Amino acid sequence: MYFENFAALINMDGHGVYVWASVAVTLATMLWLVIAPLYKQRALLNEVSRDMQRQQDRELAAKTNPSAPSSSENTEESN
Amino acid sequence: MLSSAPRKMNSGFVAWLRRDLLLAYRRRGEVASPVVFFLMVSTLIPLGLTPEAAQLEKVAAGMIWIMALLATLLSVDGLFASDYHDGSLEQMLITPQLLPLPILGKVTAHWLTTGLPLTLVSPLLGLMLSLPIDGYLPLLCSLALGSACLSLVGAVGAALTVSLRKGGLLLSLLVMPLYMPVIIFGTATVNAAVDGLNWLPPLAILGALFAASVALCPLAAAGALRVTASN
Amino acid sequence: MSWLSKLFSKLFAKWLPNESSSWQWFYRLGSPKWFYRRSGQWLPWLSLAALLVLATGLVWGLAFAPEDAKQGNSFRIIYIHVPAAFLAQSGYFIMAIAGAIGLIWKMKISYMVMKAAAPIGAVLTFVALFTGAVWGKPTWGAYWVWDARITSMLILLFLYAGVMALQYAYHSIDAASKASAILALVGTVNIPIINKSVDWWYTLHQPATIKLTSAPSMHMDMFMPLLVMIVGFYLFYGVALILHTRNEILRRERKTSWVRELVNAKAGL
Repeated sequence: MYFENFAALINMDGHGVYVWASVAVTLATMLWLVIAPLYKQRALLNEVSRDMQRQQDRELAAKTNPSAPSSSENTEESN
Repeated sequence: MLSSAPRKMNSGFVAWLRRDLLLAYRRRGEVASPVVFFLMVSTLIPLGLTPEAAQLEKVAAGMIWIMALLATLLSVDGLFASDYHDGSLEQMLITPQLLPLPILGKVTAHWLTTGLPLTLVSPLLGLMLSLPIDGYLPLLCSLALGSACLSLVGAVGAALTVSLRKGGLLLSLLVMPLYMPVIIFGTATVNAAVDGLNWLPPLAILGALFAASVALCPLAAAGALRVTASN
Repeated sequence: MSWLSKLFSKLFAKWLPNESSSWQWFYRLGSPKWFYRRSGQWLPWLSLAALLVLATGLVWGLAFAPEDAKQGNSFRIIYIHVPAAFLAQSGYFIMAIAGAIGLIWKMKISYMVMKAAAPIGAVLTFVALFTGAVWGKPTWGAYWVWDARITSMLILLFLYAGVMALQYAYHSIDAASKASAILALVGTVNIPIINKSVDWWYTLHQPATIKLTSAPSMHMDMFMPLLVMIVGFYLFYGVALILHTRNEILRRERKTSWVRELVNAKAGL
């Protein structure tokens, strides 16, 4: 190691504040660039599965209650 | 057919140039507003900075250039807007002519109605901001060339935002960074002359920027219009 | 060009379908479904590589590289500032190239890559500006100096902002993609001009102070960690770009059967 001990590495002859602040901000933003899309992906997949659930429910409702007006199949048949 | 093609191409340019000039002549009030803006902001500068001639002459060139840029930005927003709303832009898009030529005609008309008047009143502003006497000729030359660049680059931005309702603000956001080289070399031309240096090199670079914009901007604007005007 | 495509198909034979004799791999890459599947397989390895290289470069640069004779230890900011600035610049070109591919070959995926590249590039530009400002304090005594490189970076941030704003301004995905692709291409033509004119402007107004970075004259012990960091940032950029592109794919293809199958498979696990 270039520095004599760990404290010297943190201090860096008084320049440590600048160096470590830059490193901290850079790493934080980089981490955010990776974590944010992962969260977003989960939200998107959940959204798709909710959509599918809703569609399934509608189809199920249409089967059990054929006179329900909300189903798309019904309107096609009546046409 | 082939022999008539060049005449036809040319007429696309001339027809749109003539039409836009005629429209501008009929709406003289609108055309005057960038120039009035240009003059008005110049009274803000002594009020906001200092009325001292010694300090004003240092910032005169830069201020005139920045105001010219803002005045161009204000007016370039409407370059395609009214044509888009009354449907004549659609007509332009479906004509068999090369699309960049009518666009170049429109941009030329825009420059004749904003860039050129701004250039012509700029000596007056120079006088008000106590620009040294050596700066006037370079100011005229650089503004004439530079404002043409501003109109050309602005046309690309106007084409990209034509169908958006709040396009004006977005347009300035898109185009401003692209204007930086013009501002740099425009002010450098005037400042070089004021400092007693050779002001032709920065002016020559401004000329090069103009040549590049004439060649490329109508093409980019044509591509942009094809995408945006149909949406 | 066919030798090039043959070379590529040989190199990537493992991941490509057998019948890919010519440019088919290129079109295959254009399929969002194919890209989503494959990139899911690449991601863990790419992330691991990025993490290892970045960790190595950071520890090497911060703790083992010698200090600069003039600037002392504050020079160590170079190990994050320069790679970030580097990627911010190349990121714009990557974005523009993706846009151009979209305009020329009408490839859906490249528009998605372009859209994903814009915020990543903007964030990296911000990082470069921030670290540059912090570095400026011990070097020049001020957080902001109108240095040529910093000014160019600021303009680059504005260019990114323009592309992103245009992307969000249109409701139609098609118009948004094409319009911002054209803007990105216009910006690409302008970036060298802007950089050169800012450089020229700077030499006109300011006598040369301490230059922040002078890579060619750098000592090898200082330069090697920088090189490692640049490679690390490229790998990181790849990971971030793939992640953002995958989300864009999901957003645009959420009605398709393959996304539904994907969700079903996930739910079955």
